[in-house]
Amino acid sequence: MKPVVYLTILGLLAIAAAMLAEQPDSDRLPIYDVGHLKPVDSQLKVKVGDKAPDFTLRAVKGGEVSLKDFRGKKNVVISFVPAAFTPVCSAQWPGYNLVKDIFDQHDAVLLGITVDNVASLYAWTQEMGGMWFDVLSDFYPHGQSASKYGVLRSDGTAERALFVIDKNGVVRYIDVHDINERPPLEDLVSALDEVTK
Amino acid sequence: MTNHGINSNDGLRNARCGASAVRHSFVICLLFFTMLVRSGECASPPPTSTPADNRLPAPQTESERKYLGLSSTVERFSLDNVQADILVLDFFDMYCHVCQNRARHMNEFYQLVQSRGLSGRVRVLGVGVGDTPKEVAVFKEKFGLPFPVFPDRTGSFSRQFGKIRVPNVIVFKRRLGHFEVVYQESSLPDNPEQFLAKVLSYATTKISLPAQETAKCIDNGTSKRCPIVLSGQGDINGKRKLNPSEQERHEASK
Repeated sequence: MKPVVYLTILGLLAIAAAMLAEQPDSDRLPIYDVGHLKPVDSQLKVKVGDKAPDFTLRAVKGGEVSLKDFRGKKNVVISFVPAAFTPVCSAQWPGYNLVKDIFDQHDAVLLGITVDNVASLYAWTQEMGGMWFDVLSDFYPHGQSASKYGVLRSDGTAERALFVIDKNGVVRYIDVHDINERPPLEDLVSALDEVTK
Repeated sequence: MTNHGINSNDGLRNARCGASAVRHSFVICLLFFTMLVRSGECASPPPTSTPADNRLPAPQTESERKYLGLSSTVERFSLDNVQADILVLDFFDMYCHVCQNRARHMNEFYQLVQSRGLSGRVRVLGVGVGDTPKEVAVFKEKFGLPFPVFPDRTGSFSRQFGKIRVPNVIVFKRRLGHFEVVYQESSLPDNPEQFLAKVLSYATTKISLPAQETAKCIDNGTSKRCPIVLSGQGDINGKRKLNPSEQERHEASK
């Protein structure tokens, strides 16, 4: 090879090193762009005032978590999101990670549920810095819990949906949101205010 | 695609003349720039079809209005209304974990600007892309942001600068009464000293508009945000891409 080639390589490597040092990108998630999806693709099976269907799911932290564990003890917010490593989902739970105090003030726990398996959920949530709340896998039988609530989409993912369940196990708030958008924090806080007033 | 380029040129490896060395360099350049293409992207704000809006709601507090040089009666303002020579816009999203991790860097930068006595020239603003008022308030409170932050729920404000992937920072310099972009980075600087030096460097870099384009812009009364070419330093491409509204004005001026 001619010297000009070596010089080119060296020069480009130096530029690359400078650019990468200037724009650290290691903490960005590899996000799969799903494009614009049908806003809602399921039929709800519960309504406000109903007894919330119970479920028992594997938790990323280990063991299992059942909805009935919180009966008489805590209000429960269930956040279904479609799937790990997808755009809006990856920009929803990190926000809830920031507002643990809001859940505490309302004597509420948050359960985050997707239809991914535990290993995928572990990798995803670790990439996002870990979550203070329980992250549950509705992987097998696939989407069984999402189906009980009527938020399992035809492609096997879950809706972007929020349920607030009071200490008596009664559904008090439902927001099956446009899957392409994020539910405003204001709406969830208002729903929690209603439950605790 | 890159492999195809190498394999389809079998004579390349054995080339001994100067021309083949140039071809080697070309292939290496292709490989290099392919490597630089970044596949990772922070989660995007919700997509909307709202048209771009270059105004923000004025801050509620008197101290923040004073910081921006806005009167107490202003309800919405554009960046050009801010009293400063240089503006640094910090685009974040409360829900973006990368933005959360890097929030302190912009705080440090702000403090450095204050400590250097540059606060009269350099103003810092935060914009929560896709965020509601409560969400930006949470972000401001959790990370103790000392500068004004604004919600951009629909993304209509941010959209005027093209597709903003958060975190993102844009530096503006006042020129002919308007602020123009002189630097943009889809990250947040982790070294406030270096970033301040960079901001001041870019802000003092001469911005050269091709004479013909300057004339067209001024003739059409659209000198605001004319296309700019950075001389010497600039973004990765050396020339900033025009955002849609600028493109429209540019096309109209032809």
